[in-house]
Amino acid sequence: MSTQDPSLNPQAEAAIDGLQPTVEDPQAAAVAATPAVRRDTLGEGDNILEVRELVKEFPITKGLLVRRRVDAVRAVRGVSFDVRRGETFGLVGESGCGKSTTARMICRLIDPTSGSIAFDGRDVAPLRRGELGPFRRDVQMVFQDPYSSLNPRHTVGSIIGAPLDIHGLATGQGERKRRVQELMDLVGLNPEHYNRLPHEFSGGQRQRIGIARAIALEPKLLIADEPVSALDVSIQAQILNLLRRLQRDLGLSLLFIAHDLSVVRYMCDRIAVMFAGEIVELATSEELYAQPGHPYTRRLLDAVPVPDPDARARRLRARAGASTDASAPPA
Amino acid sequence: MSDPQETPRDLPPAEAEGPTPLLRVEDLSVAFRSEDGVVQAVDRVSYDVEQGRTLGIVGESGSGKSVSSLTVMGLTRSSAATITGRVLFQGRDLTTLGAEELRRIRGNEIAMIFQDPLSSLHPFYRVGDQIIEAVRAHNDVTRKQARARAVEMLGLVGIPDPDRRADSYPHEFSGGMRQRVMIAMALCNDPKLLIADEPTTALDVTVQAQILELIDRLQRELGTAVVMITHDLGVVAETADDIAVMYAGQIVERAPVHDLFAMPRHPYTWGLLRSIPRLDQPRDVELVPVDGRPPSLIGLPDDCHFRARCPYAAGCCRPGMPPLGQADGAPEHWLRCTMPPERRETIWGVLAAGGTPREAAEAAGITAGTGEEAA
Repeated sequence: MSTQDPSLNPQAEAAIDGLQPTVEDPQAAAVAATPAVRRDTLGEGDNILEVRELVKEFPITKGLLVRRRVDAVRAVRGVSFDVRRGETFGLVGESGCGKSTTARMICRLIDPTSGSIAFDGRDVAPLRRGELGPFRRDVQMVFQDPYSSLNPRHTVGSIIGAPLDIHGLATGQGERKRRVQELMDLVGLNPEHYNRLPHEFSGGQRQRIGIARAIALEPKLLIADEPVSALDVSIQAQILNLLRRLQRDLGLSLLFIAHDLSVVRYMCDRIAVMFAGEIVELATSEELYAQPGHPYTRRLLDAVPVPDPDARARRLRARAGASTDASAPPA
Repeated sequence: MSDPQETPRDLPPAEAEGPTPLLRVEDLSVAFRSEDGVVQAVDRVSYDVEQGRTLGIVGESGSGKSVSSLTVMGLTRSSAATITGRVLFQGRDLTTLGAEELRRIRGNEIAMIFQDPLSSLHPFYRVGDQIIEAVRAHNDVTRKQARARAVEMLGLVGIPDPDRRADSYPHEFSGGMRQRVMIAMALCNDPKLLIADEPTTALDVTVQAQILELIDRLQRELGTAVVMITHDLGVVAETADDIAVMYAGQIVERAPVHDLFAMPRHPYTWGLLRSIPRLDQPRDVELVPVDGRPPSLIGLPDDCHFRARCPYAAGCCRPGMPPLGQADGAPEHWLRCTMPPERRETIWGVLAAGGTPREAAEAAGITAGTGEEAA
């Protein structure tokens, strides 16, 4: 209750103003043609992922033996967006805004309450676990915490090789090892460290292991959920550049989730800002930062610390000016 | 804001050294014995913090920024730790004080807030009671007076309805509100020095902005000196008056905030500045990470610790550890690097314009073959 600024009421209908999250936006469509789109993947429709009206409710239950549902937390309230082939799409927002829940639904790690997830032209939302096989190959995820997302008792080789085994892609030990070492090389790990355990690696290297595992199956869509927020700044840049390089070289589509607007801007072609389970603004990276349309986006942008001592003074002046005299025309 | 114990404590007079700053850390070294060898966590660190000023200490994990501050508070004392150097607080050397004397200073004249407010608050006690305990530990006041103080502080840090919220438990607060409670607790005894160890790292950006503003405002109103420890150059640019950049246990660069950002001089600082995405720069400026990773702090040679990762090491480095010396033409700018000033200006000129370290090295006439990523 005490957590939110009262001026930011999530239910405010005003939150939707200036917001056209989905397809019918010729302007956005025109801008999106610019990023490097791999020719050979075109033709089957330009969107690798189309999410429509996705909703997730977590039930609140009562009772020990007979659990009855008393209410629900609406974590995601009808989210719609597209990820185009070969682009990096950013989902940005603060803790609890539903961005990770959305990612997990798209991966089908959790089941959506309602809505559709069209991947490569096919709705995967209603599929049962057993039917997800090929889809699981095409969508892979990189997680935030490089410590808890790797099994501490498995060697790097078996961690990166596991997806190959599961999908029966590597025949024989020699082939598997060769492939894994190729992947390690690709993400900047020393292939000779094939038999090491995760604890022998630093945080940044572990995140590289997680990325190698995720691209082992040559997925069409990679979902990265806060992949650098647990890392030191100088290592962050290494991982961000690695993801950018892989995305370019492998023609991946990337759904990039983060809370840090400066990181998201660096990575993404288009960005959706999430607040309280809804997308409040969706725009190209350039537009979003040049002219944020929604007050919440502006608030997020204002909050990012800039490594320039004069920026603070400028901002304080601007804020003081804005708050003392709201009626005065901007200079 | 009444301090019932305003009477001067039985301080020994400061040694005659002229006007000493509030906190002076002199040649502080901290080493820990471990199974693998001696870890030199902090290596000859010196800095001053003046009354009412903010010092930002920037560094990555393992750079010694937290250990040096914990040592100021006497929190690294253990049988495995070797601490040398001096920590002069109002002229008194804290490293020589006994546990009981230190306890009287800690939480009273020097307070600290930590990164994770949830693990710093006791989950079973109401936050008001925890602040009351902090007040009464250092002041001879009644419970009622202490509670009034707790409520006053909770109000001061911007917790709505403080009288009622004092009776809430930590889990009933959000992360940002918990950090406010921590700040209220830290400031309840009017400390002269506040050490904030990554106070906003666990928080969302908008909440971070609020907390930084809060610390800034309280500092202006109460005149507290602040040591702000962070890995985020953006955070120190927003809050600090002076900045010390730490790498592998040492201060590699120290300067007033405007000097540092106008003309950063150490290659590691350049690396840090170029590896953060910035909203105030065009989007297509490539990030340039610092290649490799920080060295292990066990058995480091007496040589520039950054040399192995430095793209400009060729040609101008001399063997041996460079001293922390004043930069040319900037007496307040301290630096642990022996690069000639002209070369420094050339390189930073290229880097600041968005060039890569390779281009910068070429512009400065450093031949290629350096700066390869260590496998």
